[in-house]
Amino acid sequence: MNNYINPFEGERANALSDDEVLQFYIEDNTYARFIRSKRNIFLVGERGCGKTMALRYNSFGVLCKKAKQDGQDIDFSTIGIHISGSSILHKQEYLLLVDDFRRSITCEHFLVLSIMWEIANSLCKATEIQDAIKQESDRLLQDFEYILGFELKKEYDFFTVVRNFTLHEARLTQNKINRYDSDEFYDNTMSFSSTIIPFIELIKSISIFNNSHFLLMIDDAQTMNEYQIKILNSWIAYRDHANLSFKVATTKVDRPKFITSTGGTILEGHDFTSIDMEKPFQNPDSDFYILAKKIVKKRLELIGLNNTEAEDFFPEHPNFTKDIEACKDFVREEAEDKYTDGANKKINDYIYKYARAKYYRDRLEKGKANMPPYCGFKMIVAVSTGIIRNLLEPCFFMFDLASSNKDIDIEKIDCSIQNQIIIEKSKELWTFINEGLDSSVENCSREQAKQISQLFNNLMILFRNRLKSHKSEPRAITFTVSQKTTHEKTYNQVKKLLDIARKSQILYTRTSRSKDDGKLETYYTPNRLLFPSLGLDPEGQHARASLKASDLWNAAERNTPIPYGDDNETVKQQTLFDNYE
Amino acid sequence: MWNDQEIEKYLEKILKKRLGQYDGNNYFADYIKARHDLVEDVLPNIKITEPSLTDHGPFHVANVLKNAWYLLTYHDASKKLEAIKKFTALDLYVLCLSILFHDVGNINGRANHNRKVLDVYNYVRNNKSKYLDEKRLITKAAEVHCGKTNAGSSDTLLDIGNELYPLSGDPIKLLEIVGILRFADELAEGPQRTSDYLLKTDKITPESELYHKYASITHPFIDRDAGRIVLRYDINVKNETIDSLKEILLYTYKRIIKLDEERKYSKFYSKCLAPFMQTEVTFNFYNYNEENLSEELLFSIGRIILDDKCIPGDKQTEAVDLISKFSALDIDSIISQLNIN
Repeated sequence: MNNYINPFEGERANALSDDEVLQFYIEDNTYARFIRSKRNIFLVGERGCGKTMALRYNSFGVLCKKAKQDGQDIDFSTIGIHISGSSILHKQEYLLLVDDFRRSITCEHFLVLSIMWEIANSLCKATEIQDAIKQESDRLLQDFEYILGFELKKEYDFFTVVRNFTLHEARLTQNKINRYDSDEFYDNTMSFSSTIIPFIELIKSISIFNNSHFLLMIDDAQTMNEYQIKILNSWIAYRDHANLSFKVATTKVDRPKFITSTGGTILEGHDFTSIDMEKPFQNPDSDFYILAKKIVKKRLELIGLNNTEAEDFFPEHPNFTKDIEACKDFVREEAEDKYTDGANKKINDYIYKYARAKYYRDRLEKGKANMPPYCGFKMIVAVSTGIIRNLLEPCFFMFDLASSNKDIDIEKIDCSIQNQIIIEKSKELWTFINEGLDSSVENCSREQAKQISQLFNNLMILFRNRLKSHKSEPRAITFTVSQKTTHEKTYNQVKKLLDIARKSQILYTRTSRSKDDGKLETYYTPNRLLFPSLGLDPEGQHARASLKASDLWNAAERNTPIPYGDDNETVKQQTLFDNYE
Repeated sequence: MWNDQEIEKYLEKILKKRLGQYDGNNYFADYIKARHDLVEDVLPNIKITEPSLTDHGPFHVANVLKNAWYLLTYHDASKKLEAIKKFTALDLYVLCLSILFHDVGNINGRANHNRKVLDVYNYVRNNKSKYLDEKRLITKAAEVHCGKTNAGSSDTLLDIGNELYPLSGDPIKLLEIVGILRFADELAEGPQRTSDYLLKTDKITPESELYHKYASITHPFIDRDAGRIVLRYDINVKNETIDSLKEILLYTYKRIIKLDEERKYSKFYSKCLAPFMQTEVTFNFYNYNEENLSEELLFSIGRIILDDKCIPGDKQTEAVDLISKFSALDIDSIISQLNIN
């Protein structure tokens, strides 16, 4: 038996080595194009959608390794510096200061030190750079001393000295501010314009960097404090971006505000461009499905399965495929009766809407014994809700379970294992919603946790009712929230709960244009992993239900069923697990 | 139906606060009456006389009022009203009224519309003599907000000069006001002035198409805090040819120059506009998918910055350039006039 390697090992991107990033990352020209441009970019997407991987892949260290792997020269035209969660960046000493101005300059000081450290750390490792600056190290150190205004310890090469200096400075600042018996303030604080700009200009005086553009890639911006955010925005507003630009990764919920330190605003589409990293994932032609296939294929290569497609490794249950086809035939007959003019598009649309609905509906009516099998690569992509981490996690557990059962190399994952893991994970997610939100999610009270639990239970009841009997969009499992202007207070109450749900990753959003009036609308999609343990279809259809804020609030607060608009349906008090208890 | 603009709400408050309840109410009532007549009777009908123009109706007027507000206020709440407070209540009354009336002349045809306001004004005010001061102010403001002087110069604000323009015995900063009106009007561009439907179905006359297209791609932003005007152009290249793209880009460049010139011109006369030191421009090129209403950003160009900064020695201006601009400085001519041997 081979030594056990689970190809779907899903470490967070920050914990991967440069080699692993190179190994796992699927290059996307769209992102690379923007990340390597001179524009300020915000990469926006929920946790696990691939922001950190995209930034790390474009960092100087990784691209150096890639160049060596490919037998090419290192490209110095863009120097990507990944700045994430360093110990300096998240220093909290500013909280000890009372004065707002001093807090702001302290935060800028630590932010500047973080960036300098990352730049120096990235550049001190490459031997090509070491060779290039050997002759110039003294000059560089002298010039940098002039910029800083004090002496540096010149025991090592330029970048190593700078790296050590930043750590030393951070410690000195920390010590000064931390002294409880003193109101003294650290006098040598550094700013973007006094330090980073001249530092980068100094680096550019080195011949190999003469034409370089520095990409300062700041990760997890949603964790920055309010001062850091304003400072960063001010830097983004800085007019001269010939030498550097910012690429900022942030989640959608808790996305930083756009106010600068001077009270101004940075403008989307002008001062920066936002790139939404969450791709459409609705069907096998979608960008996410294609990406998911590539990711899985690359992972399978780690265990020697070089020509195995994702659909073959995670096969669909043959009965499921057969039964879906039977439902399509059944529904096709209905459509042909209805559309006697033989309009192919209408018939195909009809089949798209109702074939799968019939399949799941039939099983719901038959009860627990007839749960559909949740397996197949399409199913795994569907329950991922378009998030890469949600794709890899069930694959990891499936492979792990398959490995424990077998002594031979795995060439595919049995449907029974896929189904078992998906149902297990689905139930775990429900347990988290019903019991664990307030203890796991920051700023979620017990009352809010209960409201969210009730809301989600009622949403699923609604979706089940729609699946069973809705005349036009039975498989719609995405919704928008109306009454934003007519019931503002209620809308905001619901929005608060939905934001907590998003933070907990039990709800995701997409922004799209409404077909009614062309305005941008937020579409809410529950984590699709919630559907399997209820026997519902996680694939959904390309449609959305418009739900009133007042109905959603009643569902959350009073556990009232969300009214279902079909004329033949009467709203019954029922529990979610009626069919399966 | 009209939505009250921020500047109007502020106007009402400041009229009552500074002039007292009675006079304040009267002035505001006069303003509302004028607005009602123009919004109901005149502005929507400009389309009948000039069907191919971009919008000059109530939406445009509301847009200009909004722009005037943003030109005079800060986004930063701690100093929001710092600039607008320097205007008297009557200054603001005249500003808002000028905005209401500035384009009404279009109802009598586009050509020289800035000089055709009097008819409409008299209709609204019923020719009452108590409005003589106001009439003088409003018609003057409309006259100089665009076009040329009688002498054929584009420097129309020069006409206002140091002349005193009173209203009920109080001096009005007409020069400042018209500077704001001009600039706010120039900035009132954008998709709201045109119709996507008419553009897509080719219902706009060929000679006007370019102006409508320009409106559909333009997104201005007024940022007094940062001292800038931002022009963002979002261009959907899906149905464009090379020639049509070249045409719209060239026209856009001309409009950028025009707007930047307006910025400098308006702030020369209107000191309250002094903070606006630069015009920033970005172009975003998209592929717009009409089926799923999604936009794919292809690439961006930005930020292009046009500012007032002049670095000594940079422009390489020679003495001969000064002389060619001011012929009186011609040296030979000076020497000959001085009869020096």
